[in-house]
Amino acid sequence: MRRSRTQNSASAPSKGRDLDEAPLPCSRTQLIAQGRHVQRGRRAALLLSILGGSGAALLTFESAAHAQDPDALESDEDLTETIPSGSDSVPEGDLREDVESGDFSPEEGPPTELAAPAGDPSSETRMQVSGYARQSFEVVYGELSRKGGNVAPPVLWRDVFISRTQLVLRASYLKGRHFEATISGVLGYTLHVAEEPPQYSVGIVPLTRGEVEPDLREAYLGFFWPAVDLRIGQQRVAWGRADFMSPNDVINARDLRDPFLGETELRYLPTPVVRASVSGGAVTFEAVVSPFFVPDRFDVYGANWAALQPRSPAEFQAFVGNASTLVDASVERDFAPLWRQTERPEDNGKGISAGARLSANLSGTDLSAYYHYGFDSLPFLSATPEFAEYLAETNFSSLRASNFAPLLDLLDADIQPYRARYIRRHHAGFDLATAIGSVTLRLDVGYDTQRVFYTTNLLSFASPAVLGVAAFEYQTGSLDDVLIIEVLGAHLLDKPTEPLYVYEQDSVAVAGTLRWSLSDSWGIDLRGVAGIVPKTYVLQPALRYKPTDAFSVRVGALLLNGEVNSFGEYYGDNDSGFVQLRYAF
Amino acid sequence: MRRLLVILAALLMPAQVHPEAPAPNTADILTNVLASDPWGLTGAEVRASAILTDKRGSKRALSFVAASKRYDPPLAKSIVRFSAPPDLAGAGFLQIQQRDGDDDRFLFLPALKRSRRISGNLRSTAFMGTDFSFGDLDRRDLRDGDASVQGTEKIGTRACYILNVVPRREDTQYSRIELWVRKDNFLTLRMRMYDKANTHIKTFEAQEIRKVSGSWFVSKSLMTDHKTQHSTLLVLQNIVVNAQIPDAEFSVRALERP
Repeated sequence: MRRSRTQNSASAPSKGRDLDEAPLPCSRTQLIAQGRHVQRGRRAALLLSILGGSGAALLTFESAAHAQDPDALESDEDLTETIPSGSDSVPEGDLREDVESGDFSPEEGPPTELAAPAGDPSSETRMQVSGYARQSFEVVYGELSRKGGNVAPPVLWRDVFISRTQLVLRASYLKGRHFEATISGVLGYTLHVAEEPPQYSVGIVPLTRGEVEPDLREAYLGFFWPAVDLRIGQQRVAWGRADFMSPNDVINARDLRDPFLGETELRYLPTPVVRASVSGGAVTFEAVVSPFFVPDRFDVYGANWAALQPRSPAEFQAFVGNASTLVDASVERDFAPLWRQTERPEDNGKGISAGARLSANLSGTDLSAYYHYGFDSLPFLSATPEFAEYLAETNFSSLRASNFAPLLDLLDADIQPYRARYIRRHHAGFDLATAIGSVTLRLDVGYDTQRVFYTTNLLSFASPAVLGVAAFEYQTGSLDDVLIIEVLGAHLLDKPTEPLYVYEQDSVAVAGTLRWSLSDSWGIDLRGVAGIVPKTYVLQPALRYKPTDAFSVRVGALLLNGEVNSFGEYYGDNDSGFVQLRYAF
Repeated sequence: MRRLLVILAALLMPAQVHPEAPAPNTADILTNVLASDPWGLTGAEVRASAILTDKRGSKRALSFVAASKRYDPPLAKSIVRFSAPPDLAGAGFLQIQQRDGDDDRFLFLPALKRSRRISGNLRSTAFMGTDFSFGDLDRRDLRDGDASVQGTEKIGTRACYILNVVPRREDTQYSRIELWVRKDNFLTLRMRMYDKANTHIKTFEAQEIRKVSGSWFVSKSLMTDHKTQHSTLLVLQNIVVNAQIPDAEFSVRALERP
């Protein structure tokens, strides 16, 4: 017996016997026995014609009666109940439907399930590996242009060409939303090329110097609960909201060796930290403890962004230059970082720092308050009058080890002629961010009880200081089209006793970042800072070409200048052109 | 005799009337449209990819995982984490829709290790370079629009209501939006967007839909910008219906996690 099912309205065309023409059967069974197709709708129509009343109710009754009658299924006669085409019925269960054809197909792969209830998040485990390779070439035409006429060779090393090759790798093991293990590092090679050896060099020295630098950056474990985050290990903790310089970004030390042309993320040094965050609603409290002190990383001499520059006091250049010849050129670069400090906080607990942040993400506005007790990451330089006298009286033009004998005499007399140490300070600050239309406003203010500044005789001046940044960011919704203007201000509560490098008692500057797309692949980047007090500028225009998501090329220049003792004037010989290539994976 | 009994029973038994359900009114249709979750952005976890094609045929692929939750229907919170392309890998985006005022949006960039507040009124701008604008995804134009039913039409084999929605908000990029909404599940199968000059500028076409745990999603769709001749093919590869993601997962703190 063939059966097909059809749902019909009373007006559907009949496909079976015309019941109006034949005598009514006594029962459905008799009808079936006759081997005829019977339609429910025709049955209802029959009743309607008999009663002359509402057919809908009777149709329903009849259909129900029919459906409940098991005898109706017994048939050696075909029953056709067809479902008209265009029905909106959809099979049960998970499925896919092609919109054009309306064809259904069962879900492929493992069936999707309702996710686990709250408190038992997904246990999906995954590995994330990412990184990039970067190659940059810099031609320091500021140094090249200095070489005209009878110009003496530089006192200390000055590069005219620098090649930096970096491979940055980052790997994270993640287990659901609960656990993270992350490690990252940089393998770098820097090639320095000088046009001539410095005055303070011995014998024939190579004009090209290479440095291999493997560097472990992050290495931490993260544990996450709904209200608590805990991260332990070497990590980057970014406090504050400003881009060019955030007064509240005080947890991590900085790498100052390539301040403008390096990758943004490499400017800060991840440090060993225990970091815990607790959230309650819109408020988050974060505590940070750094058991070990990590100072800023910078070159004292021998590099274009070193602390000692051609405009530094001549006696300091001579002293350091002379001292650099005490070791063989092959190990001199390893010896150079020792100049950063004569002492530093010990790793026995005396170098511990701690801080806290309270943040609130309210509707439309974000607020944070900070406190940190730690060290200024720059060394405080001090010298005795005896040291100043020694520098003034020693003829460093003759490269002799005995030039340093007076220093040894001072040490024997328990006089430490020169110190570079790190001073403790309390830091407090706040920041806020809000959006008004297409502009995001950010304010970032910090106060330090002691902050290190440098006088023009390269000694330190420490003063309580307030630094603040007000930022305005025009957003277009695209990461490649951004305009940020930041107004920076610094006020030293104590009046400097000597002129300072870079700062005055009240300093004001404006920094900006313009990133704009010219087409799908081309864009411009313009970064810079213009000092109002003191007057100075640092500009970095660049043309960006990004043919794919992974690969980009930037070609640009770095321009600096300014009034005496300003940053731009101090590093004014570093005008350069650059090419940067970056491949991300 | 049997026939007489049937007739008598029919007369005596209460009528079990099952009248055909009345067609929903416009407001009901729109309410059901807003209650739907075509891209899994108001109560699901989805793994998705987007293929962006420019007018020259060059393609770019985005991959991301998104989790979302309704917290004050039809308002929702959503968090998106990108895994591709390489320059976006690790970036995250958090949005908390607001009934009045601009939505709260934050962007996390792994290079900065910071979250930044993003202007919530950039409704007409493209979401991460796709042809879906923020406004297309948050559907505020539908929430705050005047809708009228223009008729019915079949898309494929499915009958659809045709709605015309005129956004009331001044910051909208559209003068009107036409929607083709399936009658049975109120899923939007097609949209045509018109700019302020009433020029047809964008078209959304659903190519495949999926029913997952009783909920319908547009699992493959194409958004075409006719002005720029750019298109985005959005594919939802894995959908998990989850109404119980903790609220703490939709926070800046969670955004800064991997």
